[in-house]
Amino acid sequence: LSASTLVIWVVIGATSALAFASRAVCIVWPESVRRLPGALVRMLESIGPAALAALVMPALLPGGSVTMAAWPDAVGLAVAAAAALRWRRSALTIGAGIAVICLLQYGLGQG
Amino acid sequence: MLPVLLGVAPFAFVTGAISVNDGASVLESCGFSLLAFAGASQIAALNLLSTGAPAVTAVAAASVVNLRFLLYAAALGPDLAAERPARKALLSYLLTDHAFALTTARTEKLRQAGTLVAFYLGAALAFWVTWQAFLLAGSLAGPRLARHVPQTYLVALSFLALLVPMLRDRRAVAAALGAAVGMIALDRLLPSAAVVISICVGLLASELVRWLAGNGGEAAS
Repeated sequence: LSASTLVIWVVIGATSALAFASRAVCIVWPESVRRLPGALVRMLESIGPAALAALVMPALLPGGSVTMAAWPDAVGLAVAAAAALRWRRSALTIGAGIAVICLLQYGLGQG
Repeated sequence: MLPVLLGVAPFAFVTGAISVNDGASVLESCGFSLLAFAGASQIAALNLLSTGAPAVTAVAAASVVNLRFLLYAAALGPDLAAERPARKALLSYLLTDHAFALTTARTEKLRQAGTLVAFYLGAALAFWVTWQAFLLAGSLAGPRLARHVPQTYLVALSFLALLVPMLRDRRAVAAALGAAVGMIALDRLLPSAAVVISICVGLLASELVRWLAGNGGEAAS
């Protein structure tokens, strides 16, 4: 077992345990719902957008800035974002994004 | 039900592809999916590991994404209170955005019919089977997909597909903008802690908007 493999499995185990805890705590112990502070519950309502926005930024701005070489990516993601706003379905968003980047790369002779 | 199942398939496929292209083996990709059953956190954890982030950072960022399940579980918990502990554990493991949305969209009807738990379990199992099958397919096809679509693009696309539908009100937009600005500012300065700190900045921005809206309302009244 290499070090990197061990690290991956440790991360898998820890993430899975915490994911299960997030799901189970209020189902196995429903009374714990009443114990959650109101401010925490309010903050949890916004955790999805905050976490996903933080995670998407490094992919949107590799190296912390927009590069001209990445303009087909920017066009593809803009179309995908428009599809997501219009239909709010992940399948259509991913489908639109992949179709646009493939078409652009084919058109530019990179595909 | 079928359109929703088909809707989850592309995300599962892309999650598998991203995982393998980030350096995980097919076994690790599928193992992660079987144990955690949480796509966004799988992408987050493996993507951060591939960029050299410490394991603690990868686990923290991936787990913060899953905190939304606390709210879903809090909403479903009272309806599942009479179930046996082992069944509660299974129902907890199967909790996803899609199963929650499908069930809560018809909660009253299901409660009246006494079929809420059965419906939720059926929907969640259908998602689980679809998810694992398409994730395996994506894991096997990952290297081929990477030849056509850049990895960073796939990661951005998968998170975008989840993020945009969540931007339903000002607080959600403030949370996303706050976290994005935090990442731009901190990604180079504090690479190992930028994600978690930026999420906190986003949550504070969301609270600030709520507070401003509350004060505005009080002033108006």
